[in-house]
Amino acid sequence: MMGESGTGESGFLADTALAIVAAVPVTLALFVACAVGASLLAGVLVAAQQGRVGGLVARAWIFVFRGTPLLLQIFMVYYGLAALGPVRHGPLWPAFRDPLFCAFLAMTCCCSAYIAEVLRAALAAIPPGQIEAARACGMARWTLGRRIVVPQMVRLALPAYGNELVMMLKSTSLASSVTVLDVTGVAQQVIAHSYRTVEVFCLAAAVYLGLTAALTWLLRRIERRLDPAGGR
Amino acid sequence: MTETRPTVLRARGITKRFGDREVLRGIDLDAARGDVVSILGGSGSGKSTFLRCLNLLELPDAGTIEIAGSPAPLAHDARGRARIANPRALNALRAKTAMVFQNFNLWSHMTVIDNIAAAPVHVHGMARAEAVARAHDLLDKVGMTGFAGHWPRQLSGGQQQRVAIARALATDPDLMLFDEPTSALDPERVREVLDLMRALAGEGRTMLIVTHEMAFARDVSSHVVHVRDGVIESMGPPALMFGPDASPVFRGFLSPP
Amino acid sequence: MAFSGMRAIARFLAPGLLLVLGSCQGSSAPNAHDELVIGTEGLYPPWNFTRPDGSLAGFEPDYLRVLCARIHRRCRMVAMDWDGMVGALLTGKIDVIADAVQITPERSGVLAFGRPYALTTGVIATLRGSPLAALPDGGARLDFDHRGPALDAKIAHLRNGLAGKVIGVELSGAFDTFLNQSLGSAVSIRYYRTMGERDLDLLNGRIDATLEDESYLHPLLATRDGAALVLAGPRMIGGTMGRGEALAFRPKDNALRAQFNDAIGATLADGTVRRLGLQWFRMDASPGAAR
Repeated sequence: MMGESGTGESGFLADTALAIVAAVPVTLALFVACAVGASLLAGVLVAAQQGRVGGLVARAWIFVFRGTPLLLQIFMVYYGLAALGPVRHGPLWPAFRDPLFCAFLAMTCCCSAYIAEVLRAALAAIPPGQIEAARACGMARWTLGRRIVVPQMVRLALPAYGNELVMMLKSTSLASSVTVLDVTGVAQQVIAHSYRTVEVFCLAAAVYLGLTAALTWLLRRIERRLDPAGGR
Repeated sequence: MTETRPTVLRARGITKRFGDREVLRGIDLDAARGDVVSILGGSGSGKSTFLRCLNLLELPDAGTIEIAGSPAPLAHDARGRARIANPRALNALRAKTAMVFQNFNLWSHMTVIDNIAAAPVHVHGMARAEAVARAHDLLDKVGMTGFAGHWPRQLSGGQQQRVAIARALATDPDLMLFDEPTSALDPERVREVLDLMRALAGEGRTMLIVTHEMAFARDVSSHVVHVRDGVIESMGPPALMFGPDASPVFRGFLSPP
Repeated sequence: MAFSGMRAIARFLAPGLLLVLGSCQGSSAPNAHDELVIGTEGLYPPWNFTRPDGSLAGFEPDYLRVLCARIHRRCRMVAMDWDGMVGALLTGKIDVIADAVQITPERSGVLAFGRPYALTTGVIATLRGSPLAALPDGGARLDFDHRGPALDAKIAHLRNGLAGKVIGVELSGAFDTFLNQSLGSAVSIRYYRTMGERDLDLLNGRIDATLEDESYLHPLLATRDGAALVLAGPRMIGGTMGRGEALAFRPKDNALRAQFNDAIGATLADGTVRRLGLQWFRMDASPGAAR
């Protein structure tokens, strides 16, 4: 039904699948950038929570970004910040002009709040005796953090962190609401011209399913690699 | 304590308060190289707290500590609260000691061999290959040959404690602190750990052992210390402490009415 | 730039939110044989738009009242997103689409169009200070149904003038296919689900220009925010952009379509369309008008 293509049913599905798969790099790039950015920011938030002033700021950050819908955050960054003179006429406008950057920024801030909570819980779950053992042998603060605290935190956080990553991967679809042509954006575009909502969204859903399955597999591999003994 | 042997530990006037409760009320204790000091006492007597004050896992409110010639970097703020004067000196002091815990506290994210090699590499700056080679020797020594690649949770309690002892030996410490090393073990596993400690004592290691194993204290120690209500109630060689002339209070502790 | 951001956000995004809220109670399946349900967007002034109280107003609500009276049918107009409207028609949730739908070749494969009741052209709009304001062939009429060297030359002007720019366009409007096929290699295209979002980005400078129907742009330029915009380049019609706006029906509803076509013919002849056009567009948009 797309114009004069006339390749029939299977032709339409194949064309649509190709168009959607071609958008996977956009979805993946957004996801990877957000995953890295949010994880780093979450690390900073957890570190800040160790101090008094930093803890206040970090808690406020987490409260705001966990307490409001991601879609609104994306709109606020995309439309809201663009309405502010200093942003609109400031040196960062080339970045804020770009919808992909706005989606990245909003998602990074939002997901950092969730990941910070995951990391905080993991930090609290580290057996105190293991830290004591490191202190008792004279390990310096920085070495202790790097060799004992962070590796333990990563292992304890991994299952919940993996969940956050899967949620994040799916949340990238909200970027299509600010004109980003990711998998969902392209699917909407195809629907707009073919009026075949069900088939196209099914194809898009299949693509997301494939991506999350690959991500889950990867996470499980990492989990197993970090702890080959498994279980307790 | 023969005079020719150098002093490894000199603790003077150690006091410690948790809130309103005075746990340690002025403890003095010396140990020379090769001493094996068993610290006995009822629960809540303060014996574990004292041990943990020696490597400053707990900060004593007052008192001085000197280990192998280095004073503990303790200072007090304006309100009299204890604090660490110099973190670097603290770590240097701790590096001269090693502690074996009741609950083993092996690092669960490291294999057995990495647990043993960690302090030599990350605290003493030893080359990794050398540290691993020495860790294998120590595994042989504690009877855990072949367990290098195992993870702590794959081991029994007794095996974990033997690895923990190997970890403590890895830095060749001047002073070994044992905090109830057999209390968390199944009864049939206690023996393998005590046998190992007995062997270490035979090698001339300087050991402070908080324990409830009276037979071990009597047979292996060079000195027995009885702590009660935060002070040393009595101390002496085991022949004296377990003999007819022992303090009545200690005798009462050994065999309650 | 005399453009106050928050006010503009309210102006361009609020109707959409209002519509989302309103449509929760409003629309439902056509219930009786005698009532026709007419779908419109309610976000495309002055063709159709949503008043603050939630009611629909504009050229099409007025015109459809006239047409329904002529064919003696009871009609109810419901607002819905454009991207779901064709699906709603084909699945029977609505009976007619009245949403300034251009008769394009692509849509003709799915929908059955009635007689056109308006004929408008597409034109580029850009910010007043933009270099695009000086696009060549300003005001000239480009009819893509009459191909030839003259047309090709003007298309080349357009392509050169827009090269490297970001053009925003309504997704599945009449113009996105045209942009994609005729200029897609030269420009980067942003697709918007609603006009309001596109207009906001145009005023924010996030996109360099839009291609939109003149009937929509003229009233927009007359508003306080829209005063920052100017029209540029040629007026375009035909080809994938289609010719004229018409009602859209299910292909099998021939009888209904014929009834409406008779009524449209009569209202074109008696000047009703011309009068409503002057009222809402400030111009006669009817197909026969000499422009």
